[in-house]
Amino acid sequence: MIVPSTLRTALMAFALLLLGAGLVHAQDRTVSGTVTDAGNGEPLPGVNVTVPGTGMGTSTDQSGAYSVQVPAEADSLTFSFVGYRSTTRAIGSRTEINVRLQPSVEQLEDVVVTALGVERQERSLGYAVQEVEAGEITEVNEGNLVDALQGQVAGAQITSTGGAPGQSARIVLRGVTSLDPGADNQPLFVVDGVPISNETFSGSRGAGGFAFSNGIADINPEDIESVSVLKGASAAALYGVRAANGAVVIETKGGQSNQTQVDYTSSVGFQRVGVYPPQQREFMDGWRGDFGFFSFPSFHAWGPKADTIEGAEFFQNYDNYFDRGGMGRNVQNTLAVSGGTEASTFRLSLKYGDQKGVIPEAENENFSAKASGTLNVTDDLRVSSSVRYTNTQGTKLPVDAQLGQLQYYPTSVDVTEKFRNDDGTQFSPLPFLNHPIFVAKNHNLTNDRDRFIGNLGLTYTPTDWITVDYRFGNDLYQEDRDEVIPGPLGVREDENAISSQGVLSRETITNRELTSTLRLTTSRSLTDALDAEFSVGNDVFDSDFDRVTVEGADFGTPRFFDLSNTSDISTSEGQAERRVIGVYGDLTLDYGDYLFLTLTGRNDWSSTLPEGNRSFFYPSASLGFVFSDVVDLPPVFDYGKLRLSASEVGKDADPYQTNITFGSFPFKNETLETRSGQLGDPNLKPESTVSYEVGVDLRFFDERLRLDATAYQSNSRDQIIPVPISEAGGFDTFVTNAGEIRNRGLELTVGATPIETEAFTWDARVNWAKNDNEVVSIREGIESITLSGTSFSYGGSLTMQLRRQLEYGNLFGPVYDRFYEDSENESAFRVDESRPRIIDPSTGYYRRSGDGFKVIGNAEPDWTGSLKNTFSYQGVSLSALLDVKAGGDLYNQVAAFHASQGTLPITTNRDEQVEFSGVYPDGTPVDTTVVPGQDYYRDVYRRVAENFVEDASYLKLRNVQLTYQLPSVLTETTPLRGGSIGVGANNILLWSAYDGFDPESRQFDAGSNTQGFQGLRTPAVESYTVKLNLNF
Amino acid sequence: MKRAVLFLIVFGVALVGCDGDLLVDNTDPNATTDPSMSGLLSTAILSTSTTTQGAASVTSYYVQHLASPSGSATDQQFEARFGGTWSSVYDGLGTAQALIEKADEEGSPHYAGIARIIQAYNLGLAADLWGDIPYQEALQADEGEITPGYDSQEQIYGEIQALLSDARDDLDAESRLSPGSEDFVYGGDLEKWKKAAWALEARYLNHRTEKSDYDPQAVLSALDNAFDSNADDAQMDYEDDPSNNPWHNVYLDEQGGILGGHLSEQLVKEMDGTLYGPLDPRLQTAITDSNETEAPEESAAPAFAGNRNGAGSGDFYNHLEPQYYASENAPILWITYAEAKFIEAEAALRADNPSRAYDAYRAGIRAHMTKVGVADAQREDYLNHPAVDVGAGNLTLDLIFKEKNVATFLHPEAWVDHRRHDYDYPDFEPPVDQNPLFDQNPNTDHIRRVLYPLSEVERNASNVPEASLDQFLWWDQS
Repeated sequence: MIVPSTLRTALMAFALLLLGAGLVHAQDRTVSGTVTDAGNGEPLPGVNVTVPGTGMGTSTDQSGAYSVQVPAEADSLTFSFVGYRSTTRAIGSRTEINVRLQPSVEQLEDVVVTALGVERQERSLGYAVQEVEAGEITEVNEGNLVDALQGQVAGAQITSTGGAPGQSARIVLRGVTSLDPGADNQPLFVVDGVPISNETFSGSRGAGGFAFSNGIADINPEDIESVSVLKGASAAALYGVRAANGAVVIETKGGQSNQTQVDYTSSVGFQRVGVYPPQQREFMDGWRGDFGFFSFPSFHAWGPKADTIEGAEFFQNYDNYFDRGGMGRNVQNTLAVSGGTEASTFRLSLKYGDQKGVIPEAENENFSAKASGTLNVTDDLRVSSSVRYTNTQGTKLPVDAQLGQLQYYPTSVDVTEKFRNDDGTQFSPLPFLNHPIFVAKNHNLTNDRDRFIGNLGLTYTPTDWITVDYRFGNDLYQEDRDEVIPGPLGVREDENAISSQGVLSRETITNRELTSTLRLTTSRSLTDALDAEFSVGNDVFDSDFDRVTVEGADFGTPRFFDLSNTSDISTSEGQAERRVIGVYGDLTLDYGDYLFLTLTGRNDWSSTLPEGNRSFFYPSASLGFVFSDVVDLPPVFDYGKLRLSASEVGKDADPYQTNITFGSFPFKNETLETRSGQLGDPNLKPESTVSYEVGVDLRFFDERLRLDATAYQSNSRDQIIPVPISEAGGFDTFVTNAGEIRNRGLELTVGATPIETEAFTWDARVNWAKNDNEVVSIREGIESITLSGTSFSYGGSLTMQLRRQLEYGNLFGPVYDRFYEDSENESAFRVDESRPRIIDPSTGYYRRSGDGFKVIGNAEPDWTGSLKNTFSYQGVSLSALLDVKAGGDLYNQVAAFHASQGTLPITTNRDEQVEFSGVYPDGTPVDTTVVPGQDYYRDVYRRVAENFVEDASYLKLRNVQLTYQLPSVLTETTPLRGGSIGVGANNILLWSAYDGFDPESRQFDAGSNTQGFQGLRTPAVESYTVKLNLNF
Repeated sequence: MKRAVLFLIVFGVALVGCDGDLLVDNTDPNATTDPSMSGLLSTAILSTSTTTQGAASVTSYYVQHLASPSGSATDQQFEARFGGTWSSVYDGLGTAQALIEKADEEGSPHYAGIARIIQAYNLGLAADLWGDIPYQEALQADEGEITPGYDSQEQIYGEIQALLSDARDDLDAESRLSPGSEDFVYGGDLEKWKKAAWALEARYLNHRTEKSDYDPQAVLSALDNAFDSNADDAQMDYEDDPSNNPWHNVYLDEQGGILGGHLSEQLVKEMDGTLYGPLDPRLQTAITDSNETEAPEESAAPAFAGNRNGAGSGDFYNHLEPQYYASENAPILWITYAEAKFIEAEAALRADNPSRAYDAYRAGIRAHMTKVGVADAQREDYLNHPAVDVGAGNLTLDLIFKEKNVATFLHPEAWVDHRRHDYDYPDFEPPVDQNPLFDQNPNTDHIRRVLYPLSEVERNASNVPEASLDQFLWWDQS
């Protein structure tokens, strides 16, 4: 049960009180009705309905309906909406007025939200911005906004890390720009003008054995009004260092004047693992053909054929992966109340959600409350504020415990049959094997996260050409994580305990981010045709992170999990504080409303850089040219615009990377001082990304065909990288400016409305993007930089490495030994498949190469694309989103395990005569026919990473959604003003050559730049959701 | 000040003058930039013990003290790289270097002297695994040297002697401050450190037995200044949980189902009387427990059993028990009086002084048995057994190596001796399913060195020498 602290309750109550003041006015009469598009008959939400001369009014809701209180003396209503001709209707004695608005050709352009929350006409921009609307986000039923953006934005590469409740998802725009394994390559997330943290705070114990959520997942998708993705550095230049990877600007829903509205949304979803890796069922557990799993190492499936063993009828091979998986369930409810007076608006929303995983012991529960409001204090002063409180509680399982332990579980035993002995101790068919179900029920981590995000804003317009904007925001985050590993119960001699002593780890993470932004804007018409807008501003960002871990081991009473019950307690702390101060200016010139030039400049001072290098300036320039306004074009060509931009963005380092430090720890009553393996660079410089972008926006056939294309190139120089250096130098890594990476790419969005009638509409949208990158240079003396990876049997390893002149994302690993007459011809990095494999004369089969690990794949996709079709027929709409990823390799760790355990299908030829074709070490061609046995698979096959780095291209039906708008019969006869019922399914069809679980699961958290490893986490799932939406 | 800064943030008027005051300090509050000499000394000592145990946790398979329960790659001599040992060697060398620099600043050469002995020990251990290693250009990444060049093993041996000699001078010099309880080896007894320096000098001089310039007299005169009794042993004691001996963790893991620390069949044969006649009482007192032989139920277990290297566990086996070597607070031995005595026996025998050799041989056995807690009567029985009490005239190198092998149980030095003695121990066979590399080399059936760690191959590619597991190190060839 979630019980917010008293303090927070008080704060909430206070905020609500403030915002709720003066809501209701006595009014004389009510007029209501519906506003539709005169062209297609669709309801128009957001149309302003005003009572001329009174300053009163409202706007239409999602179903185009409005209801407005009208003073007795008023005689007409005005309806206005961007992109439509305004119209005024006399009221007379009517209480219902329905209006059809005519589109206005002159004002077709959308308004988009750009950096710092500035709304601009899309036509004026010199860079690409892609908008995603609220409906597109909520209809896919993904609780994590990042997941919800899958397939919706050209050039956004989104990677879901897996299907457990509360797992993180990663988004990268236009490729990575920082090569540091730990650097943040994800865009800045800005909510209502204030950046908030999207950090994934990984676990600190061991290898970070639990999967945590990314920060933005705390935002309720139902609260989102719009999402604007600023993909390039130009678009985001004004946000400074933190937006070097672009920005995702989110505006949340607010209230509407004079219209109190209640919205309720409820959804119920079910998930299951859709795809399982293939396994052979022919051979049983055993070793060298003998059946049995009772002693190490004979629990592998290297036994006899199932039908040849004695008592064959008593044994079978179980599908323990499938049997262990279950049905996940996800229930989400949001209740929102909004409204306002002519001078103020408010919106309150409450959300409760509960998700249980496909591994039933994992759960994630969250509660959030948000209040926001605006108040026009005077004609020239407007204030706004919002507070959001989120509490998330979850039970997490060790990320790879389930799949990891299932690998070793004998296939001839049903894993679900028994996991506990009658005395409560762990049951396992093997004395040293952990039972996955026992582990799930006993070894877990519970987390409890409170997050408090607030902002206040003030807009002062002393004259009509000067605006002063101020915003202050905070993002306070506190999370408690308790991990329990029980020790032995001590009730039997041969107890198989998970841990010999038991461990309790309590960790508290607090993170505080404060942002202050001040901006002064002036605009003037310089001549008849030339308008100018100039702004200057300052912002300050301050973050303070603290992680305290207390760990106790060796429980006194076996099942009493409290630190007081442990005998061996250790503590550690990690703090990081960072501050960035920025000053910027921004000048936009508008010539004839078709030629727009924007120049920006920003200087940052960052606390994380050495004193001499901490101040850095970077400029940008962009040009938007609506050529269709000045060039004669064929009549079908409605609109054409060219965009050009060039920009530079600086980026600072993580804190504390400029010196040599020593940590201390106690041992034998002395304090040991250990030098950190990281050598800081006292001369660290800021990174800098220079990018160029050119794009066009073309629209044809009354805008029923829309095409937007962008090409870009960015070079990120002076990369700050903790370079792994020879340990003989005295350090493990050297943090220095060590390289340059270049990204080049194309993004394409095509929108089409092939059919558009009164009753039926067909909309289609294609997103396509391609990004190529290259590590242009690496600091002299450094051959390669290993980001991260995984060990690969027998001391080998598979790692993602950077080498100059090679692409980012290359996976290096052990390969087959191949023959070269002259070793000079052998590339140090590339595998030459045309070379014959060497056959080991002593075995008759292939062998693995030695030290020279080579590129055996690349984790980056060749291109990504999506196709979304939406069909609407009266109140019914059907949409389908297909998502494609072409290329991009993935290490199939499960398959490597299966090869070792003898469950991989290819191993069924173990007892057959198999031909190997190649050459002897001296180059003599030879074809051998040998029985590979388990030795070939265990000694060679599974040790060659080539066999398991697979093409993870896929085509998947990301989402299909059927929505039914409640009929007007219902809305007219009940208090209900609108609503819908929808059913949807995600991830239900997958076409992929990848031979494992769904290729969308990842070994590393969203914050990691190491991609291409699937690992053993809970795989991605398919889901089915029913959703009800009611508006009162 | 803090409030003033907060005020500025809130009102965002920090338009000009963004000097240091407005930015937060960029030094990690959880770490220091100025460590103490005592903190560095205790760290260097712990690191050296960790290195010793880490290296032995692999070399003990090559000398068949231990055998893997699953026929592991280690046991079968594949891909040996010792990446962890490489890191901890240079970690220890680097910490010791920081201590030397600090001691110079503080005018306290006593700390520098101990640091140099620690450096000599780490260099020797590393050179005996890899041969050529970086030293002259090492430990200078902070000066920009991130890809250090390699020195030959012979040069490293020269450096070891120089370090030990400098160390003795440091220990004799005036020192403002001197170590105390943070010296986990001798608790600040500098005389013992000097003896340890002489013992190490003898150890590395005696590795040169296959070289033409081998000088047994130099070894013997170094030993004259070295240890006088077990009380002089260079070792680090561990304490009860959580500062327990790492071999004890191997035992705890074995109990918890992570199998390890199984005795090799070869070790058991060498000690239980099969190969040499007498039952060596140290098998029971120091290593394992005859009552704990792992065997299937209802079968008669032999008193002691081991695994055949490379084959995985058989029906019966013993593993490390919390006796002398794997108890919770057991020491990790660096160099002992017993080892020094066997060095003396070997050098004296090679110098044609069998009576000194024989006395040293018996003194070595006696010292080690006493050290590990063998009862006097059992010790004397063993010493008087005809296979042990052969008389000065019948003393052979084989016998000295046999006894030294037991006294260097779980120490990397045992592998140096196996290579110097060309694996010439009775019944000593390569492991089952051994790396086929050794089939193809007519000169050796056994592993002769280890490969460079992958980190070094990747990060220092231009300098790292070629290596193969069947290559003979410098002192291993004439």
